[in-house]
Amino acid sequence: MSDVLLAAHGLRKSFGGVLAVNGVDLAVRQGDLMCIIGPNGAGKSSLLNLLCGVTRLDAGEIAFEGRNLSRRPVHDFARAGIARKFQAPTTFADFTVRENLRIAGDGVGIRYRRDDVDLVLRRVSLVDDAEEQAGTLPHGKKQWLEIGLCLMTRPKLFLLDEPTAGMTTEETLATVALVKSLADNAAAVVVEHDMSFVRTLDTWTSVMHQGMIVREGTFNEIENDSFVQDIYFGRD
Amino acid sequence: MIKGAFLVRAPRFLMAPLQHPRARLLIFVALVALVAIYPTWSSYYGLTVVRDGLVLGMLALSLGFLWGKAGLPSFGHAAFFGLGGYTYGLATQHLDPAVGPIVGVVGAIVVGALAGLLLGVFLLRAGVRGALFLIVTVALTQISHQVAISWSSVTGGDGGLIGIPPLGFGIFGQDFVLFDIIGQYYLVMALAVVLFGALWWVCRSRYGRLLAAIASDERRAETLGINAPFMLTSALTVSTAIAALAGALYVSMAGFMVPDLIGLLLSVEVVMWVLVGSRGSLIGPFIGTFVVWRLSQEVSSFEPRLWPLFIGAFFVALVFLFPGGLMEIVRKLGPASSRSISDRVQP
Repeated sequence: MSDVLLAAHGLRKSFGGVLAVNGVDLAVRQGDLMCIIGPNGAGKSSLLNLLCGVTRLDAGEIAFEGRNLSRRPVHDFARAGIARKFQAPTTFADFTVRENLRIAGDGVGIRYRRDDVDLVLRRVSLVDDAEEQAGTLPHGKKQWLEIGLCLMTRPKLFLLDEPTAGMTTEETLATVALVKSLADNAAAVVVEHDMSFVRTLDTWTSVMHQGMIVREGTFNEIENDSFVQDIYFGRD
Repeated sequence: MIKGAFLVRAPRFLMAPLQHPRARLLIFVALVALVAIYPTWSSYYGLTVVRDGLVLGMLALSLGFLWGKAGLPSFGHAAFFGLGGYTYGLATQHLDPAVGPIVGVVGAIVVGALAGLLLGVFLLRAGVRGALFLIVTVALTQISHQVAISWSSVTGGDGGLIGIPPLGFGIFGQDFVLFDIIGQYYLVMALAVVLFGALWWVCRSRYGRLLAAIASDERRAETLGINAPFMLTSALTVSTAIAALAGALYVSMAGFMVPDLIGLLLSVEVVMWVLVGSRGSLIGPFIGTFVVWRLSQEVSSFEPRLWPLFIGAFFVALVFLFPGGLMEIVRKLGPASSRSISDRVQP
């Protein structure tokens, strides 16, 4: 299929004998907004680590726009158009917000102007914090800055790991709007723990359990699936 | 602020002006001017002290750049310094006097760069960083020292190479040799200023910003498309080339090359110079070099065996009391400013 952005087949990764990711297939198309949920230790973050190249595959294949990235170094993933937001906010703490964004633009080697940085600042609601040091931002704003870093690289695919962790309700709602807008010109895969966030996002959802994707469907289907309720919602 | 508790507070009105970029430029110009006019009243000995201090300052600068700007600490910089020294010594002893010194200096830069490149390709590309990288560089220094002693047919063994001619070149059948101290002094000064200026410019450039980003958070940098192993290897290559150049200059002026100049003690001393001057600044290594190296001469003139003991105690004291170095004290006592990149890459 020509419109498939990311095609992952048989992804496998183990750490010290524990299979963190055990044979995952994933297809993401342009415009997709996909959620991955699952209990702690289900392998969600490990899967994103494989998809953005920071950990090496034991087995399987990752193709992005038809190009095999499986054995490529990390920076090639970013340059191909895959942007990652980590679970713990990861920004350049000693740099100002604006400098963080400039580094991100320089990193992938795109041409950008001051206007582009300002535009990203507006999208992630950090206009007033542009000259603040990233390390001094409150947790929620750090999360937004990291999404801003991703935006600066003009990616085709966003991989967002718990984008609302540690956020107030208000911030979470703003983040929902932001995440939805990301999928307008690209695609996004969101790993999340916060069920209310996933419910608000109301999109195609995959459930991970013991390194495997065990269910896929709309959030409504997933929420009412008895197996999912057993493993995740903790029904007795 | 536990660190701050140890600091002796200097009056703010003294320190605050040092924060301003223009003030820093002024101080830099004043320092250069001072070094430039020093020969008008200095003794011959005084000139040799400043000349050698500047050469060793270049060595410290090379480590200051690598450690402070790229985040890679090294206990191996004496090895590259020594490599440059032996390259110059051997080139001048085996080649025609008309070309020997030039080939020696250029050769030292090339050999130093290659050594750094090789190290980078094998270590940095394989993900060796931080403490592990530090340990490998310690081993590198020890191995280089041992090779310098054992390979006596080339290096002259323990006795080293002696009678090494100073810098010079031949043109139109005339030989120009920098025997006189004034010529050497100004050559070294010019090189120090040029190297400092070049590194300062590099650190302010897009390249420098990306290097600083890697030093800050390498995984984040890589996932934003920055080729960290390549960037770090290039920084290491530049650093080791400068260290080797400093070695060649030092040997051309001292007239001899001995295995001690490639040893662990010098490597540790370079780290000290950078620490005292504060890593993260480029002028700091020069200041640190002058302070500590002068101190070493004072202590050694009193009792030579005291110095290694002294430097060890000094090292521990420094890490406990002033982990940020002298320049950090200046920075801390200045007004609280939003610390932007442009602040950090000032001289």
